[in-house]
Amino acid sequence: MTLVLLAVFFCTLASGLPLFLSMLCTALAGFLYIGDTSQLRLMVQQFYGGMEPFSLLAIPYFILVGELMGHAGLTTRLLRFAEALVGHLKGGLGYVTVVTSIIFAGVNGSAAADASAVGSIMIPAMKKGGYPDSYAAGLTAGSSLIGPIIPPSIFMILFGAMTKTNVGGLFMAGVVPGLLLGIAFMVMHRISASRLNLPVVNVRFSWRELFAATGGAVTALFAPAIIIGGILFGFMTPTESGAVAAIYVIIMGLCWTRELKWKGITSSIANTVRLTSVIFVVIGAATIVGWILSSERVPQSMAPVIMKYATTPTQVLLFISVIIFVVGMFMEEIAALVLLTPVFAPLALAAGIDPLHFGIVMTLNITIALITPPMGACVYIVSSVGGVPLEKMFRHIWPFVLVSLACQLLLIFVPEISLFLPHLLGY
Amino acid sequence: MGAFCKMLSDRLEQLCLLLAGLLLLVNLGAVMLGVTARFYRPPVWTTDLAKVTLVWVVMLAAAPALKRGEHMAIHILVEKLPKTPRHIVTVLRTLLFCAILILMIWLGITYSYKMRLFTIMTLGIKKAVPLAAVPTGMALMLIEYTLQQGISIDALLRNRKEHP
Repeated sequence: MTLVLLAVFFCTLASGLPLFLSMLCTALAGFLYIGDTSQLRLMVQQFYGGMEPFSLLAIPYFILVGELMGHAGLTTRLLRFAEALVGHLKGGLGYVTVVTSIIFAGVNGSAAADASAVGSIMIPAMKKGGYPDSYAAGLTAGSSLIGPIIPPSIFMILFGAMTKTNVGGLFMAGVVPGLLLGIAFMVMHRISASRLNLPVVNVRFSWRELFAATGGAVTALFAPAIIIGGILFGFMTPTESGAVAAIYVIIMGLCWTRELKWKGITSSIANTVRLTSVIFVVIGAATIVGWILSSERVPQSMAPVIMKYATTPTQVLLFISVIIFVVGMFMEEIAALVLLTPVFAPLALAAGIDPLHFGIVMTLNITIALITPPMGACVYIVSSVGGVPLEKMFRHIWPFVLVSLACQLLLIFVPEISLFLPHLLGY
Repeated sequence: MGAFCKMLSDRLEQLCLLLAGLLLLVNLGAVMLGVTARFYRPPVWTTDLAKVTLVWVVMLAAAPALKRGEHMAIHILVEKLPKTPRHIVTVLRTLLFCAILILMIWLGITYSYKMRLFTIMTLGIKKAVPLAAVPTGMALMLIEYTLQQGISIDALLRNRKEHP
């Protein structure tokens, strides 16, 4: 059964059919294989049901916030702030890229949005500053991975909705691993900056410039505070905090920076609804396939196989991580998350792994797939916005993949990295 | 024919994006109302309204996303095939594309029709209203895909005429 579904999925996908239609074909093949066509109505029921959870509503809001920030001039203010903060260091532009990604991650839940927004400004600047183009693009793609780890995160919202795990708890569990990933990229950049003899941006650090830049960026920096603070203090759910953040950015864009125009708002809304649609139809279609796999007890049949080789929680996590890493290389990330979560989450819980810890490990695992060849979405985006050939990017992306995998291993072996903060806050 | 198909496709995109955009604003308004009215007299219908509008936003915006080639797909493998197998795969893909959309439209209509008997209590509307978004969105995608094929065929015929 599983092999038939895999064959149908990969054949239809290779033919150039959009991913969600490939999954619908796979689901249809599943129903025909079972031989119960009277159940076909479940295709619509599951498709609709997959898109319905209230917590998923946060996804369009966080996309909208990211879109509006660019049009409201908040992204450029964030960049100026990061430049004033770390631009005086050797290879300063690289640090600016990572720091901006960390701050941007606190507002936007998507690595793709981060790669696109930061990359379109930073890659040309780094290239102009004498950085090798493949390194500039690789660093941008790599640091965009921080986006889905530091809250808010589309992947975590999806994981939370599917496993009934507290999304607020997942968000808090992502803070330290996200910062860890950022620090790892900065350490890597420190080594590369010496090796490649990369230049500084500002001749020296200036408190005056830092204060001026902070003043300009304070409105942008306040957005993550609304999102995280609202959830942390129990005023709002993640969905509501996303809505409030969107309204906040609109008001700031209109009244504070005064750069947000009518055209910017309509363009942001149009981009948001299209991107939301692209994500949600995949969620809907993957939900049907996931339902078929569950009803055929595929997760249950996999459990003894994995338990045979992995006996401790750490071994189970390692085993699952390897599978997700391989699957993530060949499958779109949202689809992989929707399909693999129902398969592995019960197994992880049975092995005694904390759901918050498993959620973060799985999120980081899926996120790393965004830069692995041949389907790393962030590499495609960065290649496009930075004008760096795709083949060249894929050749030079591996050091960034290895750094991310090192963080992943650290997270697996030291669960406290992710669990310390949520446990401290009572999740 | 190509110009006419393009004009229809542009109009369809504008209409879908306009409706989806307005529904996103309604959605945002409903959630914000839920937040602000929480400490006074929280309305019970905001969550359901947000859910219903979200599904309609998704399905209305699917056709414009299809037009712009934003739905994730892998074309690189087909492009590397020799000419004849490539044409065969393209024809098969087109047939499969239409067949699966038609199936979803049919299943969506029949399921929505069955669910007309149920009501979403908080909103006082039939359960068929949100469910109808699925066949509607699939039908819009089918129309958009047909128009795109019309534009492609017209371009192909023009090319053959100019370079026989």
